[in-house]
Amino acid sequence: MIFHYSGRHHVDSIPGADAVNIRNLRVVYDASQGDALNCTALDIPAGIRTALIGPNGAGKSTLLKTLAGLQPYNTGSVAIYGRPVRACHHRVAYLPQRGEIDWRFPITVRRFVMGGRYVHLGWLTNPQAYDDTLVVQTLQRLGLGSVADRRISDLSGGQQQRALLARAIVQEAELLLLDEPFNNVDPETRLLICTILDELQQLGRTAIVATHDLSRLSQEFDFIISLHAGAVIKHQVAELYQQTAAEQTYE
Amino acid sequence: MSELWQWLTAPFAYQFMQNALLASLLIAATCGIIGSYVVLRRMAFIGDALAHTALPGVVIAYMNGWSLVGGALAAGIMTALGIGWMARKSNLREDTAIGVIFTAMFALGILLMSRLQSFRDLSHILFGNILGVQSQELWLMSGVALVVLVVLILFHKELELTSFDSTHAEVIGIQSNHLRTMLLILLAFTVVTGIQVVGVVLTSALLVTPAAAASLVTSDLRRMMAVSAVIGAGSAFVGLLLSYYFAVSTGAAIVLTCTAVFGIIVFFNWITRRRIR
Repeated sequence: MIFHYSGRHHVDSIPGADAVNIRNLRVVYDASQGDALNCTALDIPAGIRTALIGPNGAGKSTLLKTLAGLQPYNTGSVAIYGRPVRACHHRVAYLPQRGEIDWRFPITVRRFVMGGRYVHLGWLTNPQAYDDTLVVQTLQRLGLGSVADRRISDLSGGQQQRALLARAIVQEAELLLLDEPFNNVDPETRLLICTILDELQQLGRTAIVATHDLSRLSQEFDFIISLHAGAVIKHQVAELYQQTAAEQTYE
Repeated sequence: MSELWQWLTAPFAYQFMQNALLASLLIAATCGIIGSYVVLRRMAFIGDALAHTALPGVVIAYMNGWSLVGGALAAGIMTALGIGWMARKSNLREDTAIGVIFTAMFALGILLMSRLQSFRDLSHILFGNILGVQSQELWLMSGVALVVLVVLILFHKELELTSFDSTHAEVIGIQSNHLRTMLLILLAFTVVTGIQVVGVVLTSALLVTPAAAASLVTSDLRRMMAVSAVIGAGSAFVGLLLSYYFAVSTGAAIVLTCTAVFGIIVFFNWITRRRIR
């Protein structure tokens, strides 16, 4: 017996649907400041890695939060695998910027990562042997095996980011939304994150990554979306992407 | 050895001391456990507010001849819901809003009190009256403690998660503001029992001090709760003895014992850190 956190938990996805379909989406925080996000049409197919680029305040985080169901929107429609936002919590994992978590909270890395299983457990159910095994395997895979029983406050920036990714992996989410995962992480972590995203892609998972780091976009991603002042200004296949184009975006 | 034993046990030959011991152990332990959330979620000010706003509830209940505990509980739950509502609707910063409301409620309580003939019964509300605990109140307190513990155990993983990462909780469908309101209501229950031991003025010490001490010695929430409960209960026992032998206020003795334990732990923490460097 599972008591799901949300009544609409197990809505099946529509076969063959895109990971994301956005139509006429508008998000407004404060009417005097214009649209935080204004997107006429955006489709992201399932099973690809998408980079979200653009200057600060372009709406990258707002877009990710909208897809995660954290940000209410004013008009338009957003579909995740053909279903409304928040109809399928287990299918979407959101990795916030690291500052949004209280890293001083007394909890071990193991238990932190276990948080990814909660959506499958629901109320009143504690983790079972399967959950424990999955967490241990994932910690090993992400090089966190040796710090599994340390406090999350003891982790370095790169380790924190890996712990967040580990949590999304044990959630077995199909759509991963990563907000600035490459900020202040060591080169090994960066490489590991990209390798894992690659592996997840081979399993058919979709990743959308907001990033400032433009150095290896065309190798690490399939699709590039450039945002500026809340609007999608460019939307292209990564192989066609040119460094100079992005630099213009920033000016 | 037998003299020490005699010294420790003699006071509890009296029925009222037995009741006081049971009640204070129970309440201090419960406060210590829920106090871990109060410390980690930075809700100390809310705990204090919940205790103080119980005063008008108690006074109004007293004037009408209703149950005092019932009055305190009603006021506490109204405050808990009010804080939750204000946090969502108001433009004021939460701590500012709480500061305004709770001082006003406390002032209202004092105003109503000053219109009454008898001040004596109500001074127990301000400073606690553990030595006057009746057996039937003991049952009520045990019930409250049990409810608080059971709910905290049942919702442990969700309460823990929303305490450090409410974003993830929201993404997987947990309504963190509902859990927060639930925690506030449990806190109101706990605080009302805490008032019996140390009074409205000192109740937040029972919530904060043992948990703050526990947070220095362990790195796991469940262990922190256990340590905090032990510190709270131990301080209640020692404080009760001190107040018996030195004829001082029980509530104040319990709170100062908690503070002494906190001080000792801070001191040892400081020494071990220096040694590591």
